[in-house]
Amino acid sequence: MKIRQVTKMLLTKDIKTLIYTYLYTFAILMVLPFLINLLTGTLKYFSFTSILKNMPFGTVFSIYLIVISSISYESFKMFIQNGISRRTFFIGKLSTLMILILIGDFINLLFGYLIQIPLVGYERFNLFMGSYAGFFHNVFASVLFNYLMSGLLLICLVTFVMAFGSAMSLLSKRLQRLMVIGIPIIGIILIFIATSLWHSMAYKGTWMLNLFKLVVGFNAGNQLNPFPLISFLLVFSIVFAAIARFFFSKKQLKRE
Amino acid sequence: MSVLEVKHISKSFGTSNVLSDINLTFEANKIYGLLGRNSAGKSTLLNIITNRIFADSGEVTIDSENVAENDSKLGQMFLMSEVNTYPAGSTLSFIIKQTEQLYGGFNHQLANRLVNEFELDLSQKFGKLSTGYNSIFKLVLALCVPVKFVIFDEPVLGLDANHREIFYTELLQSYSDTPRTIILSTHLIEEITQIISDVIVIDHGNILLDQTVEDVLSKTHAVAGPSSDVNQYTNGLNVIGSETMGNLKTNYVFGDLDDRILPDTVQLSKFDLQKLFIFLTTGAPVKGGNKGEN
Repeated sequence: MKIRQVTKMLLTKDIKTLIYTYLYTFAILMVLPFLINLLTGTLKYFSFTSILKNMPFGTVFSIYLIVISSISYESFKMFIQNGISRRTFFIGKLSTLMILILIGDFINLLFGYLIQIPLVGYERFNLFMGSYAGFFHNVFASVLFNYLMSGLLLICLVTFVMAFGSAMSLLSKRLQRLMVIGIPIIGIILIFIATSLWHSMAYKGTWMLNLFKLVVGFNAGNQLNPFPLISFLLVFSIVFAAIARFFFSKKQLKRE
Repeated sequence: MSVLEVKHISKSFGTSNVLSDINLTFEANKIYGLLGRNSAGKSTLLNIITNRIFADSGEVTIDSENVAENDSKLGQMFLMSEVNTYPAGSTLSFIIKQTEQLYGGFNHQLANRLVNEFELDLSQKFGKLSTGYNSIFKLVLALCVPVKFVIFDEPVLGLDANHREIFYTELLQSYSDTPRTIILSTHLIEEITQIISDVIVIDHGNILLDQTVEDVLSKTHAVAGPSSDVNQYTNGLNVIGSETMGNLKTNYVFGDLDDRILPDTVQLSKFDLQKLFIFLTTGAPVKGGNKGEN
């Protein structure tokens, strides 16, 4: 199998895109306001610290991951042309995304611990710091689990998007367009229904709420336990990676 | 000496049956001509062979090993087709680099010569190439990758006569330098007759012919003369086509002639692969014999 070559090729391309993504984000959110303030003579209103503490590198990285994990057909065409099987392509793609998550998650946390946490406080930094950091009494363990949980959340995101994207790539262009329009509408309706149910008193105390509490590691009166959530994220990732693998194995060259 | 085998391949698109129980063997170091009319199933077959699409049933093997999901076997084949599988924004030199990485080698010496002969600019982006140069670039790749099976699907699409001549010359030179199995699928039969060693004719998803060119041509007989004499002579033979001009008639026979006596008024000659192909794949009724012989 040529997993190494495929991973190297995908990684080279995607890292380049990641660097551009970070640079564009910095340019749009930092350099552009600075230039506008400079040109309009309102430089005194420009706050480097304020922009820096709100710099959404984590969100940008998540969006970047959604985009690159959803797109696979163009790469599939190139790899099948060059004698690479669907299995190798899938493993290469997944490996690439895992490496990118290792890098991106590291950058995000480094930025968070060095810049954002001192400026905005740790509670507002991310899910882990807001809910689970207090579970650990050792700083290194806390940082390590923050890295692990943030990474796992991103892995869940990419496996879900990979599964969805690869399923979409099997459809015709017309069906793809219908799905792109239809799914957000259905999603909004479902969220609306779920929110309504959540707020209804009758719903509280049902098995879904209990399941939710179990997953998030809720202990009455105590700090949330991160391990149930970590386990859930692991299972979620494995299930969706398997679904994505199934759809990857069905990829075919389309008649264009 | 690797052998590529196509075993009981069938494929349908919706209700349209494109390939029906196809069985073929491509032996090492031979040049095959895969001929067929439009929509005969040639491209579908080649796409199935290279695992780009799935067959409904059957399998493709190289040295008895299934090629599906098999990098080592898929990496022994290269299909050059009109389908654009490369990113439009990549430069030609970058695509060559990627191809080399994935195939584990590339004949740069030959590539440089071809690039010069075809006057190809490798700094161009793939998406900016004209139809002709798009084909030329893919031909360069096909000739320079280290594979055992090079498959060309309409290789000269958009190429002018000069470029076609360069391609055929270089193909033979490359084959002579590095013998390997070559499959040429094309409509330009006359241009490849002198190149191919074996011919496969596919029609409506069925194999009509799969023989060496030498055997095929030795079985072609154009029987010309007065209508009644020609009909009498070819009676019972496999007449696949005929042409009439006044009282003169030519019956085209495909198959062995028995030891019947040739009348003085009748002349025998050979006819070419293109004519044979036309007669075999034309649905017109044939008088004086059975149509087609496999």
